[in-house]
Amino acid sequence: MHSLLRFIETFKDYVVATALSLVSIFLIAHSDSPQIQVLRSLTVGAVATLQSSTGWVSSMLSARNENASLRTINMELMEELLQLRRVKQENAELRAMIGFMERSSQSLVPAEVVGKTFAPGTATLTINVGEADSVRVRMPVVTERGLVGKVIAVSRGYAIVQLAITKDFRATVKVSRSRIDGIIAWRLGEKLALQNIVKTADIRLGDTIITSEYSNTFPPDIPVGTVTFIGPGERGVFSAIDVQPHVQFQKLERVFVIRFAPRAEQQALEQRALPQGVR
Amino acid sequence: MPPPIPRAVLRDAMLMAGLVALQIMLAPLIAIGPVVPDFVLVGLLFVAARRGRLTGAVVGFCAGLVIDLGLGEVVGLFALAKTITGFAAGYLLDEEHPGEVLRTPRFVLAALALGVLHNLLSLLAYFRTLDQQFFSALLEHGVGGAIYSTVFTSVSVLILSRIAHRIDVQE
Repeated sequence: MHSLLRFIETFKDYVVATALSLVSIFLIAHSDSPQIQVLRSLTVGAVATLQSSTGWVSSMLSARNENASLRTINMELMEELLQLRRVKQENAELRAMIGFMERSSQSLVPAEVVGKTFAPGTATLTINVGEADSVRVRMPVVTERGLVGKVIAVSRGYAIVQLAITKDFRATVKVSRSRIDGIIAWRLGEKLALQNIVKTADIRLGDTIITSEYSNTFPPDIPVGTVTFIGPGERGVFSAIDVQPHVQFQKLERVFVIRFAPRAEQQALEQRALPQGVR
Repeated sequence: MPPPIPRAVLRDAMLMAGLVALQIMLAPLIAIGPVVPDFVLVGLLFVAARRGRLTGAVVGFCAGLVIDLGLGEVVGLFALAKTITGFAAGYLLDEEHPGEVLRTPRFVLAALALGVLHNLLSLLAYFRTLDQQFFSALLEHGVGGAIYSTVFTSVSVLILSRIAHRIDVQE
């Protein structure tokens, strides 16, 4: 007994450490026992009180993190929403185009706008169809809404379209309701003017202007625009008539080229006999 | 009449109680992902280095048991890890002039090694309850936690090196 006490005294550090380790292992083994759970329930209350004293800091930090993550989600959702809106609009446009292709009696070549040039009095589009698609110079270009312009240059895979809102653009048109003939030309901005209409002609605000069968460049009955202003013209017998085009030129993304071949004999005669501005 | 409790013991007990409170209140707020610093371990290493391995083991057991009861899932786990770590810290740092050791980078290195030992001990005992891969758990809880705790040890060593004359060391 004496030697045991001496041993413990000599190696007390090791004995105590071993004893404490054994107690710990015993506690691990009996961690779920009811006695230890009672002890835990007492300390957990104290710990909860301590934790609640800093709980507001934790809440603030988590709220800040949550705020940041919500902002990110919001951004992603906004982007997704914009994408969906774009797809929806594109879908509606494509449906309208498909409907137009089915309704139209003309041979149409669908094309995408790959380039735009807008300057005062000059406006062109570059489209991704060309000679390889049987597109030729002077062929009309339209959308399901109405007249866009005509092809003025063509390469194998691309074509340049002169828009109706160009100072050199002219087209023979008529008032859909009263069948009165006139000539459409660019006026200002995205406005057109209906020219050569006498003051006594039967024309009203809201009348629809369409291409005429007399045109050798455009097939008949393509909608051009709506009459928005009728006033006295500078030249005595004619009215000044503004036409709002049906097509929104700045927003054009897809168009159709009509494979419309002008009557060669008529064209030759007109080129020979008529001044350039009237053709 | 029982003998009065030595002031040094009272001071160490208060230090450890404060660190336990700090561990409960502050450590979760400054956790980096799953890696949490162990303030109690830092305090234990200082106490063990100053008072020796026996005190280290006893203080480690008491502090670990309090943590187990308050925060742990398995009671006895941190008590075991901190008992062994406290003892090992006292054993490694028990020199003629422990006050000197406390102010040197050697103490920081010892703290890192003991921190890894402490976390491995807790991890090995606790591993059966962890639902993750051994090596990721080892990295996150074992090495990561030890490094994070050592950062605080380094800060303490820097502070101590400036107020060396105020350290109370058992020699």
